[in-house]
Amino acid sequence: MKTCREVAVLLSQDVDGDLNAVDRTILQAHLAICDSCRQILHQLQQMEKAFGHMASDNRAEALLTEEAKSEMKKSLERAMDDSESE
Amino acid sequence: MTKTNHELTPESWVEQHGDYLYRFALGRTHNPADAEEAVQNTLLSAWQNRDSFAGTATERTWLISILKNKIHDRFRTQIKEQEKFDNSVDVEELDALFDENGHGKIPSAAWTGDPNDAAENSEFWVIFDECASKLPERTANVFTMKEVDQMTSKEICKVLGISPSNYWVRLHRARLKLRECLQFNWFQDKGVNP
Repeated sequence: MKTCREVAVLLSQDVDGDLNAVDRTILQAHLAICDSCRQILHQLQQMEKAFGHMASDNRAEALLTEEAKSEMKKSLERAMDDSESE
Repeated sequence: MTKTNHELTPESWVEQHGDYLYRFALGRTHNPADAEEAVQNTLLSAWQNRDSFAGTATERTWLISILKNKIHDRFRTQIKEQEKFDNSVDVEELDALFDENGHGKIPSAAWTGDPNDAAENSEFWVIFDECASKLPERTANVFTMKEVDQMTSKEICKVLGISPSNYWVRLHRARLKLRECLQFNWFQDKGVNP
């Protein structure tokens, strides 16, 4: 029987639906006797659900500071001035 | 101020797109200072390469494509620097999460809360960014390209120049480390700082 370490990567491949038939059999045999890996697999699947929302605008409160904006404007203006003087 | 072809308006880029670009970068670098730097470099690069703006996309889409390339270039550079040392580090780092009998060292605990509810809570993403910022770059980059940019494993291996085996080891290690951090700071004991 494979150890938790030996099937570790198979957990991620299972989460991503990227397991071949042989590895699926190996993982299922391990999960049948390992509560810990079953729990980890479930939690990785839960994380995937949460991360599925990552692409949406869930950082709406993250804004550039006024200081950063000011620095960016100055830097951009310098580049534009340099370009005009060439 | 000079107007370029296709009506680019660089003088308004910071106000019109700055926060959007910053959030895009923050979701990938997980670090405010790195995200600011990426945005600043993107705006400068956009100005320097303004002739490449074909006008077929919106200004924002064009800026985002530049920003995305800048972030991926940074990932690629980091990978190249790391490869100079030793590729076997990936396996060793994953091994370190298990004891000599192959059992996981990170204690497992039942989680409370629904992941969908967590995803709708902006506080969760603050905790997530803090957890992600603690990942080694070699694993964080793979995770970000997979989960944030939703690239396929083949695309990621190609961009970063790594093998499928290294890809899976890095991705799984990132997930285990994030699981540990999120378990401690959110799903098990919500509200405690990492």
